[in-house]
Amino acid sequence: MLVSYRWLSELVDLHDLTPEMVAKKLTFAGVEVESIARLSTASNLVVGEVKKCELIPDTHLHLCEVDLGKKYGVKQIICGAPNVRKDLKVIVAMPGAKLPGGEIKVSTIRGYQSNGMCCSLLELGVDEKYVDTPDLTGIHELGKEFKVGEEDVLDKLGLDDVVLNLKLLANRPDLLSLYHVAQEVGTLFNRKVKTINEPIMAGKLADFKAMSVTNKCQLFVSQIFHDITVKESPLEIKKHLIAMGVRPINNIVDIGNYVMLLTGQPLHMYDLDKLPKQELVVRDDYVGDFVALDHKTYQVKKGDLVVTSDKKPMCLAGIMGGLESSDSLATKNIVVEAAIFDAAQIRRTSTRLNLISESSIRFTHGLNPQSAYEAVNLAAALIKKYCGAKEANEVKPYDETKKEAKQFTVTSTSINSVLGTDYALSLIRDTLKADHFAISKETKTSFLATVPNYRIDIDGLNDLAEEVVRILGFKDVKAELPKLTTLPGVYTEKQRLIKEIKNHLSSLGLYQTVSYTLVNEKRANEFRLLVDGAPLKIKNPMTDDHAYVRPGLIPSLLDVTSFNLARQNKDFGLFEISEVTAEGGKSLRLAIVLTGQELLQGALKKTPYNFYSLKGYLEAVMQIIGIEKNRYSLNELNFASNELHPTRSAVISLNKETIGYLGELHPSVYSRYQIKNNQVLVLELKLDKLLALPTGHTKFKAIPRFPTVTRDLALLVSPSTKGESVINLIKKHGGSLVKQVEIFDVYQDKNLHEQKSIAVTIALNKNDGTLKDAEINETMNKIVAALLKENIKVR
Amino acid sequence: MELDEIKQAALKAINDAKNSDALTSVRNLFLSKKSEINQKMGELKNLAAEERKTFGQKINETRNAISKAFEEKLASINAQALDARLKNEKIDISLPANSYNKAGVNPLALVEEEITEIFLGMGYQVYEGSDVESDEYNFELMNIPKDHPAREMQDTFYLSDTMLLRTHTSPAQARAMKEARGGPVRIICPGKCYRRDNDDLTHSHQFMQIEGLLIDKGIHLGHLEKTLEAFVKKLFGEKREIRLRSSYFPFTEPSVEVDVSCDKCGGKGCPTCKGTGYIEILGAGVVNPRVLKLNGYDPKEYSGFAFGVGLERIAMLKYGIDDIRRFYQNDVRFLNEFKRR
Repeated sequence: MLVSYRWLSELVDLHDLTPEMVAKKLTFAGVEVESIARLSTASNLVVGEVKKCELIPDTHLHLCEVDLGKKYGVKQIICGAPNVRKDLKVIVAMPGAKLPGGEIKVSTIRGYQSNGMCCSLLELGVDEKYVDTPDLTGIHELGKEFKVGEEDVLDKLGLDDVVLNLKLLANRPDLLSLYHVAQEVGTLFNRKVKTINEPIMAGKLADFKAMSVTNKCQLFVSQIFHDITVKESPLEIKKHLIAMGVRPINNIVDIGNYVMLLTGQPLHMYDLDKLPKQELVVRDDYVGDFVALDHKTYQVKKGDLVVTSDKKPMCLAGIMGGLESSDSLATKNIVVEAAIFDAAQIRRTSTRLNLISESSIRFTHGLNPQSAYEAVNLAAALIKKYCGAKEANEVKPYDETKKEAKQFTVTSTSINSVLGTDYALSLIRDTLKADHFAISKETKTSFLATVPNYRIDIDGLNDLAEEVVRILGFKDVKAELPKLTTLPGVYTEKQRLIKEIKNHLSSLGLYQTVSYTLVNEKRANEFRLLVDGAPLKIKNPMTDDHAYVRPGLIPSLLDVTSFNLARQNKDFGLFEISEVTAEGGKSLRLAIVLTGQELLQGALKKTPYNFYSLKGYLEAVMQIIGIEKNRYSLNELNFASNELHPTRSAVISLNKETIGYLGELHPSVYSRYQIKNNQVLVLELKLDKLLALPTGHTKFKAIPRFPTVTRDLALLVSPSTKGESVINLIKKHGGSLVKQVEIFDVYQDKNLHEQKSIAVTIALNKNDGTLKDAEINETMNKIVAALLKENIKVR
Repeated sequence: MELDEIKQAALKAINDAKNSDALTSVRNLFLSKKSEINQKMGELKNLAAEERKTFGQKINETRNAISKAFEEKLASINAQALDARLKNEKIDISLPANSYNKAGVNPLALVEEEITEIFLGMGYQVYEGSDVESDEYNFELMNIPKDHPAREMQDTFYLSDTMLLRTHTSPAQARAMKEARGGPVRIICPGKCYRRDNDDLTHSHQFMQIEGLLIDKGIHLGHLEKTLEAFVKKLFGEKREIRLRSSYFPFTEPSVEVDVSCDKCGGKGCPTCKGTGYIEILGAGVVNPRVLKLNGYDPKEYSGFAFGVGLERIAMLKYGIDDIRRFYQNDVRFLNEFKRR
């Protein structure tokens, strides 16, 4: 909402205040002033009259002698405007004048000295939307009322006005009225506000029907004016409109806008002679085309509010008038409408048709029903004054509004208990009184406060408390911590484990990312190994890139990887823990993506990330959660995948359910993510499933009392033999003395004749005594024999 | 030789020995069984008792002196040898270390953790909401009925007529209240939120918030103010002050915007705070009695306060980050500037 400071100060005395002071007070009271701007900042302007005007040969320039009055005399000025001519009164920017385009200096053009510039309003900084020809193509032409030598041109044109831009919140639609802004300022500075009530224009009741056949219009007030003259509005009206951001059109339209800006009540003017019938009826059952003032055709549906005459649509109620009944320069007789339409309906229609007007904004935010009468009376007075209306006829108003005032019994406790203040009842009373509440039924401990009818936002004592504190300020609020029962402020076990995992992974050198939830269709359908159901589609996306809710994290992290690789960031591991959602519901996921060389290791000998890095991160996460290795297993892919490397990937199973996967990317994935020459590894885990598993408590186990003996074996196995199966064999056949078996080397070369060498360390220990050589040998012999049976030879 | 001469000769030889081998020969020469001193010991038995005592003493003194000199010289030679060896073991201490540093963390995650833990310390629990919410919890139960103007301010991504992506973390309020069945509540809820905004320097279709809600008996605006002051001082430093400005949210009444004094100018006004001395950081208020009623509370018995903090804004202020899009690009050079410490 733009507010003209000049117009505002006509309503409330601001002589000892500055726009900045008013803005600050409003802002703290919840009416934020976003900006303070001057309509024109031009200086050093004088009214001049062109005395001589000759075209300079071979140019479009005129050599002018301009009379600038007693102080400056007659000056030679070069002017290029097509409309400059003898006897024209012009605005001259004198040397030293500061215009938005720069400072004016004495200059020489084509050999002639120019002592200033004749200006258009555009050159003074006025927005293009408010100016017409000749200002668009030439210079501004001043009227006869301007006197040569006058220096307060901006003041006279209303261009020295200051505009406050109010950022209104949804609870104060009343401030879409300048008058209520003035009242707000009056309340905050404790000043009286001038009344704008006009006496009702007396006149005969017209033979005209105004009514509604839907309950979505509760009030329809109208008046008829005869023999008006449609013409340009006087400057007085125009300058107010321009300062409030509205382009002047003609006196009738301008009066409608003027009244709307002042009272907040939108008006609509119909050309009486163009109405098919002497009636205006609000309906919500019209279906069909409607040609609006903007010459566009809109499809009206059942439910939309339309003002009709003889069942034909005259106006899309509260949004935009129809072309058919609109007023023109030829209009003689008009009907002025001030109605109250259902805010929700106007919002629905306006949103559906994508048609938003100053009027629809006011309706959708909520209007004070009582302002309709006031607005029509104000319009009547102005139409009489500026349009020469000879006769006015009242139309019987259609009024179904409930006139019950909202009232609250106020005690000091009811306010102080909300605010934590210690206000006396009398101070609360005086504050609400200044805020235009009517006070009655006063006792020592309470009073009755009646809410002003335009404050439709107020519906409880908390609202009254807010009024008091925003007017008196927050300084009296006693800030203190609440005294409450002590509670253990701790993470739940699940939250604590998640934090521990995050901390551990970042300690292990993985970057923690936060990426977008919304992805494109392609990404939503990639890496769906863990996904339950189809991806969720956004009904009203902003772009195709953000049209689906991601059902998994890997595509997001691969895009982050691609982004980084494109920026020469080569070696990194990423992880993200985030909720994902698909048709089957939400799931908490952990994803890891690795590429290049490991971050955490000796700087002088780096090794690339590989499958076993991923497996290590997996084991670390499982260990933090407390899931023993024997509870889950890694299984080779038993399905065709074009996303994971078929022989360097695994799915993670737990309780017969797939809870994750890990491995190298399938080579065909890289081009889809614009990844070149880099090996990338991925892991995704259903973290919520793991965190929901029961886990055991940590319990002390006795450490061995007698020395441990180790024996190494180098074994020759077939290439397909899994290391884990060798370990299991040794453990199974070695008996109770075998405490630990570890693989410490694996290699393959030509000398081994298509076989693989696996070297293991076996740790032997006895709980009740030192091992004897005979015992050790017996165990080792058993192991070697068992291995031989499986065709595994000791080298 | 006389004993004194032997002593002199031995001390000189010990002193002249250049290494442990030379020193060993010296030792053999002067202290072995065949040494002159030992021979003199043999001569003792030929002496008179009186003389034997004094001469014996003298031999012992001489031998001890030589022995002591020998030990000292040996220690000194060993020390020199060790010194020489250690000099040879010299390494280049300027070469790079093994890397055990923590990797960087998206600052949104860091700020989320930091704020969460401040409120944990005040007895709040972490409530977990969901990205996908129902219209009922996101709007209706937060006193934003259909056609409410506030819905316009929160342009929403819809999945169906009834399901949407939450536009704020406030639905956690309604859910926590439902679960508390009309009893006290003290929660915070961090989470991602979504609004139909074009992504630019200061806008993002996805952003993070932390919601806070406290419901108990006798809670008022002053409790909110002090709680937020404690929070701001912990997060930004003891010198920072807060101030309240009146505002509007459908779910609180009265509603306030909370500003924190500008770090750069300390409240005097500078370009960072656009000359106002303060920077807006969060919205808050006393829980609207309508919201209490909608969620099964008797506003006469219970009252509360609620607040919502935008994490991007906090992170941008705290670390001086210039562009909201950086949070979601995850350039590892950017991430590496922020560590868990």
